[in-house]
Amino acid sequence: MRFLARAGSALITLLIAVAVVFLGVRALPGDPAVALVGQEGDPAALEAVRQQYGLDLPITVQFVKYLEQIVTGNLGTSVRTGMPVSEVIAGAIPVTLELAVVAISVAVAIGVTTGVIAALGRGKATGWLVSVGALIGLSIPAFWLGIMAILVFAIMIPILPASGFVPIDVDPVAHVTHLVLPALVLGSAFAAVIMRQTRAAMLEALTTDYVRTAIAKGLSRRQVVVKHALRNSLVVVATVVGLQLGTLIAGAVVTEQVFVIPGFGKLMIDAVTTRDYPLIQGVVLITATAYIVINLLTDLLYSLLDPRMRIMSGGSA
Amino acid sequence: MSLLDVRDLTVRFSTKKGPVLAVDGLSYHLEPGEIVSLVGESGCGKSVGIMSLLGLQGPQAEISGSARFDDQELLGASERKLRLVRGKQVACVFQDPMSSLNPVVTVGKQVAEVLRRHRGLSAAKARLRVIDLFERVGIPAPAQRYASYPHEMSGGMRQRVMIAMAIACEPRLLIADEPTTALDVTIQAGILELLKELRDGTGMAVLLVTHDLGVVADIADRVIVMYAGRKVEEAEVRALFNDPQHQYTRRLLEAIPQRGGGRDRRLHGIPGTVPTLRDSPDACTFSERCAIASERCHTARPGFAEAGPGQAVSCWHPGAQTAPAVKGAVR
Ligand SMILES: Nc1ncnc2c1ncn2[C@@H]1O[C@H](COP(=O)(O)OP(=O)(O)O)[C@@H](O)[C@H]1O
Ligand SMILES: [Mg+2]
Repeated sequence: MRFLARAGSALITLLIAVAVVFLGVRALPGDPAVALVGQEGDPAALEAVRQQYGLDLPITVQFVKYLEQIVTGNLGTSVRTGMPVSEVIAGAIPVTLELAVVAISVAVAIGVTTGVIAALGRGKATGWLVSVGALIGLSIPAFWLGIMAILVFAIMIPILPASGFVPIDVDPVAHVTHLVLPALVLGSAFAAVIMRQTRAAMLEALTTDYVRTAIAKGLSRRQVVVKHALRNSLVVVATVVGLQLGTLIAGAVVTEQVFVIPGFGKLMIDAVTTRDYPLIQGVVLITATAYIVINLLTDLLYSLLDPRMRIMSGGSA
Repeated sequence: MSLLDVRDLTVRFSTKKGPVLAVDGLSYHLEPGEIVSLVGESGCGKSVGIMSLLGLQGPQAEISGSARFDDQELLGASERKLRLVRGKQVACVFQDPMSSLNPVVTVGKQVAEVLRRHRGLSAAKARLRVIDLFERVGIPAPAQRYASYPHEMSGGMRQRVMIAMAIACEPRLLIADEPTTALDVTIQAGILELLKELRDGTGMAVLLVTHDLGVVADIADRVIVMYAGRKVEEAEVRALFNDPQHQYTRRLLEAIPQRGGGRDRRLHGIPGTVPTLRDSPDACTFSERCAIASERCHTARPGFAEAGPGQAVSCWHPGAQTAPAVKGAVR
C-alpha cells in the first residue's frame, strides 16, 4: 500500500517536473530556429523551421501537444540532428549506465572496506589515515581529479587511454581500458561519502546492545563486526547510495565531458549549448524519471536489508 | 571450591569530571547450582560489576581485583581465553531483549550462532537444537518462530529467546542483568519461574541482578545488597527478609511494591540519591541518607562483619530498628 501511494506521488512529481522543464527551456535566451538556420538565415527559412517544430504556436498549445507526445512515447525530434529524441537518448543511456554501475561498484567496494577499517581503527594510525584519505577524496573536484588522472596514467605513464569510448562489440579490451579512469574518477568522491557513512554507522553499531550480546556469545571479533555490526550498517549505506545517485549523475556530466564519452551527461551539455529544445526536454524528463524510480528502488532495497521496514510496507510475519 | 569467586573487584572510570568509582572492593562467591541475587538501586554499580567479569566493559574502565571462575582468572584474561568462556561456560541475559537482539537477523539464527561457534554444529543440526531450546523455554510454535525477527515477537518472547541463547551450550553460570525490568509485570513472574526451572533442571548457577528486592524473594537462595559500588549486606534470602541488618536493606524492603501494584517498580521509599563516588571516603557511604546515622557513621567506614549465621553487614549500628516497620517479610 505504502509503495502504491509512493508511486502515485512520484507520478505527480514527474508531471510538475515536465511543466517546469517545458517553461524553463523556453525562458532560455536564444532562439532555436536561429541556432538551426544561422544568424544570417533569411526570414522565410526561419519561419519554415518554426512551423516545422511548432514553435509558432501559442505556448499552452505547445505544452498540450508535448504532453500528448510523451504519453505515446514520442519525445519529439532533435532540432540539431533531425533524429528522434528517444533514439538519441536510448543510444547514450547504456554508456552512462555502464559507467555509473562500474563507478558505484568500485565506490561501494572501496567505501565500505575503508569505512570498516576506519571505524575499527579509531584512535589509531590506520583509522586516521583512512579518514584523511576520504577527506581528500571528498574535497577534490571531479574535473581536476580527471585531468590529473589523464596526466599521470595516460601521459606521464601511458598505460591507459586518455579519453574516448570504444563500443564493446568493436573491441572489448579497449572498451574496458577506456572505462577504468572515468569510473575511478567518478567513483572517488562517492567512495569517500560511503566511507564516511559506513564509519559513522559502524561506530554507532559497535556500541549497541546487540553487539554486546554478540560478544557475550563468545563470537570472534570478525563475526561480531561482519555479521552483526556491518549487517546493520549496510542499511544506512544503501540509503546513502540511493540518495547520492543524483549526485552521481551530476558527476557523470563532468566526467563524460572530461573524458569525451558519448553518454547521457555529454548529451545533456550538448543539448543545452546547441539550444536543442526537444532534446533538452527529453533529457530532463528522463533524468527526473530516473531520479524518482531510483528513490522507489532505494525504498525497496531498504526493506530487503531491514526486515522491520517490511511490516510498514504492508507485508506481515 | 566456589564456581565464581570475586575478590576486591574495583572498577574506575576516568571521566571529564574526574574519576568515577563505580565498583569499590566488591567481594562475593557463587556455588554451583546456587541462585544469588545482586540487589541495589539503579546506578549503584551492578551492571558495571558483572560486565567487567567477562571483559564486556569498554576500554575506558580501569579494573582491578580478582575474579576466578572455576579456578580460572577472568580479570585481565586475553580475549582469546575469554571467548572460550563467554556463551559457553558463562552466559548472559540482558535487561532489554529488544535492543539486545540483532534487529536484522532471525531469532533462530541468532541462537544457532552460539551452537555453531562453541559446539561446531552444522546449520541443519543447530536449527533442530534451537527448536528444542525454544520449546524448552516455552516459546509456542518453535519451528515457525525460528524464522521470526525480533520485532515480530512480544517482549516476553524475546526474553525467552535471549534465555534460549544463554542456555544453548549448557553454561555453568548464567548472569541475568535485570532480566524482567523491561517487561510487563504479568510477564515477569513467568521469566523468573523459567530461570528457576532451568537451574533445577541443569544445575547451573544463576547470578540475578536486580534493583527490586521483590523479584528476589521467590527465586534467590542468597542475596547481596549493594550500595554505591559496595556490598553493604549479604544473607540467605529468608534471613534478609526476616531480619535485615542494614538500614539500606530495610528501605529496599519497604520499597517493594505490593502484589498487583502498578508496573513501576522504582524505589519511591528512599529519600536522596545514590552518590557518585569519586574516591573511597572515610565514612559509611549510606550515612548521608541514613535515618539513624551517628557521629561515627560520618567519620569512619564500617567493616564487613558477621551478623548471624550466613549473614554479614557493613554498618556501625546493625539491626537497629527504626520506624516505619518492615512490610515485606517472606511468606
Ligand atoms: N562508561 C562509563 N563511564 C563513566 N561512568 C560510568 C560508565 N559506565 C557506568 N558508569 C557509572 O557507573 C555507575 C554504575 O553504573 P551501573 O553499573 O550501570 O549501575 P546499575 O547498578 O544500575 O547497573 C553509574 O554511576 C554510572 O554512571
Ligand atoms: Mg544496570
